Amino acid sequence: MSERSCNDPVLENLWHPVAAVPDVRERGPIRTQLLGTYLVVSGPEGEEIVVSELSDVPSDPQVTVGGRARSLPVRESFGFVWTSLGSPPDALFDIPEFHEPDRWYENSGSFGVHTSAGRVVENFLDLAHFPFIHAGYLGEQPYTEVKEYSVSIENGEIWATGCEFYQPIAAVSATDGQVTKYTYRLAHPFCPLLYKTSPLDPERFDVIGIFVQPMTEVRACAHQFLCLLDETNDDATIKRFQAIIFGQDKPILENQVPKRLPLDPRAETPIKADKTSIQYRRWLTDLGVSYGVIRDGNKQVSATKEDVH
Amino acid sequence: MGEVLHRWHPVAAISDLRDRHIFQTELFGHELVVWRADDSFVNVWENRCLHRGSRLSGGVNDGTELVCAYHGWRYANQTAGCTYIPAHPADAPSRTVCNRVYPSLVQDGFVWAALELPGELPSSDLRHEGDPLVLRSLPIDVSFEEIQHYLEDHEFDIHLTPNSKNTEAELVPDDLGLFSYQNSTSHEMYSLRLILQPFNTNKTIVHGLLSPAPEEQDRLASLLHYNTQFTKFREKVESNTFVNPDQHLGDINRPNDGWRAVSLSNTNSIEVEVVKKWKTAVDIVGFEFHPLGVDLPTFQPGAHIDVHLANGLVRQYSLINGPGEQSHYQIGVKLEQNSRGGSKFLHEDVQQGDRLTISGPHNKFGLRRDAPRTILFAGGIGVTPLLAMAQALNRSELDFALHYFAQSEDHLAFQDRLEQLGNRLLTHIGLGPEETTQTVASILGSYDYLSQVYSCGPPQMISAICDTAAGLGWPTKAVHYEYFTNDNNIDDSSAFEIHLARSGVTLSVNSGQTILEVLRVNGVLLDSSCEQGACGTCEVGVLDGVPAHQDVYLNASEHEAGNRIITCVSRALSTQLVLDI
Repeated sequence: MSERSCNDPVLENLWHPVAAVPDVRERGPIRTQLLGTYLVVSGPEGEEIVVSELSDVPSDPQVTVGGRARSLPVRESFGFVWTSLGSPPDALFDIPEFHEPDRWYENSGSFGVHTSAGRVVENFLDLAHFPFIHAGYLGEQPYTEVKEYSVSIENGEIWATGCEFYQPIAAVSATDGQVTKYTYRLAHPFCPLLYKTSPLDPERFDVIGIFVQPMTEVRACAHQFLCLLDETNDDATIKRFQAIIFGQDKPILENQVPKRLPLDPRAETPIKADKTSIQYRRWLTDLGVSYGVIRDGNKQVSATKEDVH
Repeated sequence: MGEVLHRWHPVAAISDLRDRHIFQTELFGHELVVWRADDSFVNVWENRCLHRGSRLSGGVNDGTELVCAYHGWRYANQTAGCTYIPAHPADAPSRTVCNRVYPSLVQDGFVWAALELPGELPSSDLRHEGDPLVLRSLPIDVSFEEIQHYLEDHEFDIHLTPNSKNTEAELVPDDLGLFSYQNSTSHEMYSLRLILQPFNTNKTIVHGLLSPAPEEQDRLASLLHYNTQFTKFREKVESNTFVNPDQHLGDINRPNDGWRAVSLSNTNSIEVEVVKKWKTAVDIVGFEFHPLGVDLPTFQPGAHIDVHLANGLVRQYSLINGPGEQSHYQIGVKLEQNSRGGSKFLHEDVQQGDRLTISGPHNKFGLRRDAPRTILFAGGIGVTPLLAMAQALNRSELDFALHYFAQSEDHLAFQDRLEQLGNRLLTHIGLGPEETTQTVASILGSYDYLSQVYSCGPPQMISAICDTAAGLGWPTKAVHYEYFTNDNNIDDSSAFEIHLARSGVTLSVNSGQTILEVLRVNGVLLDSSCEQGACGTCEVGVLDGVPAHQDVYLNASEHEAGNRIITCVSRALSTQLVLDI
C-alpha cells in the first residue's frame, strides 16, 4: 500500500502519543504507526520502554519482530508513551491537575478511527453536535443553541472560555435547564483538553482530553485521558461511558469528506459556533502543518482514494 | 472526458428510492445523495453537508427536508438551500448556504443526472410501447472506458421471456454514443438497453431496460434471466481486469464552484405567474405563484415576500408554504376596508394567468426550534406566517398549538392546511377584545421556560398578548411577534431639517410631512412599502442627530442605538438629522 511520506517537519519534530503505558506493560510489544512510519513499542515490566522504527514491515499486523531501523526518543507522560520521528523539544505541555494527589486518573481506552487527526480534534472541540450525536448523554434535542464564547491564543495555546451548553431538565424541581460550563485548551495540535466544573468541588475542574496519534494522513488513534475528582464511579463504569461516547462519534468522523482537514476557511462553511475550530485551522496553517490537512483550497486539490474510502 | 460530464447518466432506479429513504451513489467519483420528497420530487445533490463535509446520506429524509446527522442542518427539497442551523436557532441561514444540486430528471424507471449542464437525454427514444421493465442493476469493478470494449465483444443470450425464441443478438452502440446498446429484431419488436453509469475510475454500474415490459406472469423469469446474464458478464470482466488501487478520483474539494450558483441580486426581482387565485375565507383570497424560468429561493417558516403590483405599489405578504414546498409560493390576502390600493388591487384586478414581480423571501419572524413547546397566536389574516410555522413544527417532534382567533368559522382561511394540523389547531371564534385577552391569559399561564410564543394579527391583539404575557412573567425573549400594520398614532406635528450626507443637500421637513415624502419631492427615490413603519423597506442610516422613532420595525435596542431610522413615520428630536444617503 503506497502512502505519502510525511515530509512535515512540524509534525515530525513534535512528541506524539503511541500507546498507553499499561497496554505496553501488560500486552507486550505493540505495533503501530506514526505519520505513516511503522513502529514497535515494547517494554516488559521492569525494563525501559523502547520505541523502534520498523524497517521492513511484515504484512501480518500481529507481527512485531522484523528489522528495526532505529530507536526513537521516548518519554512517559500522563500514562502514555510518547515518541517523535525528529528532534522533539525537551518539554511536553503540562497538565497541572494531573499531579494533584486526590485525583482519580484513568487512561480510558485507545480508539482507532479512519480519518485525519485534525478531524478528531475538531469533533472534540465541538459543542453543537451534542444533541444530535450524544443525545441523552451530553445534550438533548431541541436544546441546540451554542451561546457565544471567547477564544484566545495564550502562550502558543488555544483557549476557548465561557463555553456553555444547555442540558435538559436536571431535576423534577427544575425551573430552568442546567447549563454546563466548559473550557477548552489546545496545548498541542492533536491534544485537546476540556475543563469542566467538578460536581464535587465547584472551585476545581475535572479534566478530560484526547491525545490523538496521527497514524497516517487519514487514520488516527484517539487515546482517552481522564483526570477526575470522582469518588463513586469505578473504572469499568467510566471506561464504558467513554467508549459509548466515542462509539457515537466514530461513524460520524468516518463519514466526513474529505478525511484530511481542509484549512482554507472557504472550503467548508463555518458558523459562529465553530469559533474554536476556525482558530484551530488558522493555527495549523500558521504552524505550517501540511500532513493530514488540505492547505490550499484555492487550488483544485486532488483527493486521493484514501480521502474518500 | 469533458464531454461525458455533460451527458445524462442513470444514477438510481426509481425502485431504489423508497419512502423516506436516502440513496447514495457516485458519478465519476463524485458522491451523490439521491432522495425523494413526499411530493415525489427527486433530489440529486452532492453527498456532503456544507458545514463539515459530513455525508448527507447518513442523515434523515423527513419527507420535506434532508437533515444532516452531525449538527442537524436542514436542507430544503428542490433548492437544497439550508433552512435551519440548530446551533443558532434565532438566525436565518444565509442564502449562500445552498448545497450543490446536479441536473436531474426522472424517466424510464431511472433517475438521470449529469455533472455539468447536459444536453438531450440519450434515451428519449427508449419507449416502444408502455413502460419498460427495469432490470436489476449490477456494479462491475472495471472502468467505464474498458467496459465498453467488453460489451462490444460480449454475446448476451437475449430473449424477452424464457419461452420466446433465442435470437442472434448484435449489440450496437446507439447513435448518441457509448451509453446505450440495443437489440431489436423485426419479428419480436423488443429491445434490451444497457445503460452505463460511470461510478468511479474503477467501477461501472450496468443498468438494463427491457421494452416493452413482458407480461406480468413472465416478469420474474425475465428478471432472473437477465440477472444471470449480467452476473456471467461481470465474472468474465472482473476475471480479466486488473484494478489499480491508487487511481485518483478527481477533484472533490471545490470551495468556490461547489455551491449551486445563487444570484443574490436576482432574488429581489423574480417574475412569477399567478397560477391559482381562490377565495379561502370571508374577504381573504389565496394566490399561488409559479416562477418563470428560475427556481424560487429557499424560504423559512415566518418569511414574507414583497409583491410588486402593476399600480406601482409594493406590498408584503407572508408565505403560507409548508416545509419543502418549493415549486411555488402561496400567500393569503385580506381585503382591507381602508385599502390604499394594495389588497384591493390584488382582490379585484390580479387574475389567474397574470404575471407579477416578487422579491425573494425575507425573514424577520424566524422560528426557533429549540423549545419543546411552541404557542402560536393568530388573529385573522395574521394566521399566514403562523401557518407556515405550524406546518414546519408539525413535521418535527416538538409540541405546539396554533390558536386561531377569528370572527366566525367562515373567516378561517386555508382550511385544507389547517386540517392537517389535527388537534394542534384550536380555534377561538367570535371573541371580543376582553374575552380574547382572558383566553390568551389562560392558555399562557405563568411563565414556562420550556415554551416560546409567537403572535401575529391586528396590532391591538399583539399588544394585548405582549402585555398579558409580561404580566404573567414571560420575558420578552420568549414572546415573538410580527405586526402587519403599525397602529401607533403617528405624531407628525414636529418640524426639523434633514441633511443628506452623500449629496450635501439640506431639506426641511414641515409638520404634516414625512421624511420619505420630502425626499421624494426632492427627487431622492427611496424604496418603500407599507409606509406605516412596519416593514423596514425605507430604512436609512443616521449619522448625526437624534431620531424620534415611531415605527414598529426596529426593536428597542435598535431604537436606542439611534443609528437607523424608518423614514415613512419617524422624525427628529434634534433640530437636524444627518442621513446616510
